[in-house]
Amino acid sequence: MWASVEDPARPDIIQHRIIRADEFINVNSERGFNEQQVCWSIIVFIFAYWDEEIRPRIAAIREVKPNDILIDALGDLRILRKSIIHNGGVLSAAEYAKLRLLKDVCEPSAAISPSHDQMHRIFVAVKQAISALILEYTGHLPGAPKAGEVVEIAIQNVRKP
Amino acid sequence: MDDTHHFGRLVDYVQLRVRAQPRGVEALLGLRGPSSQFSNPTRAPNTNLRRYAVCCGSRRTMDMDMDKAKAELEVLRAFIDFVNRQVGVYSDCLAGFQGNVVRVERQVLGSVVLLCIESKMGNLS
Repeated sequence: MWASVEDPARPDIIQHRIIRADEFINVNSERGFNEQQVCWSIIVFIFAYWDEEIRPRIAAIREVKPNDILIDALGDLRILRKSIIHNGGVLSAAEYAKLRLLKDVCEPSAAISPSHDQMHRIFVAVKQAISALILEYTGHLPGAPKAGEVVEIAIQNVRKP
Repeated sequence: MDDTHHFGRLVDYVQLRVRAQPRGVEALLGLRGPSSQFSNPTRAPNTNLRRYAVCCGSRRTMDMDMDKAKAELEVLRAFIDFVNRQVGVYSDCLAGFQGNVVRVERQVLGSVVLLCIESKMGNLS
């Protein structure tokens, strides 16, 4: 198989790679290399957005330092992100021991390669983290849910009359 | 008594989907009275959806810093949108992987079948 980001119908295109069909199937298979890369990207991307954009803004509103806003799930994402960027995607046993919520989505001294269910678990954990932030002011009110019960979250605009 | 004054002004809804029985709209940041148009909502089609009315100015929330709560909601709205886009990307990529596998496997299988036919024809000849 030849792969190129250019139109293969045009002459003199630059081939990106030549790959055997079985290897192509393998890297695109479930929990294969490409899916792993997408999972890594999403983990790094979500944590970066939280840490560099959302966290400072929340901290500014609460008039505290960004590092004073601590959410377990997002702290676990920080550990996963660190392993992905700085340790080739391998979660060391020492880093694994620091995880508080997401120990069930990875294993110590092994590559971070979440399955579909485990990735879903990560998304739910992030949404529960957002719920915890929302419930900071209101969690004590009657009828308010616990953040750990939440599996989906949305903020809906009020319709203007 | 004026509802708006007494029960606070509706600011936003927050939808939190939990694994529980439907309970309609409940006050999350405030308290809305029984005469409120939001206290008897249409049940959402999804039975485990709770929708919370985010209000301000009610007696119950007098001790809260509502300005901060509302300001954070705007920030968190952006975060929710961001996370939901990542979920969409992840789901669409998975579909793409599966589609690639199916297409390539069909091509390979087609080649194998063709080779078998050629071989059989060769034996026959």
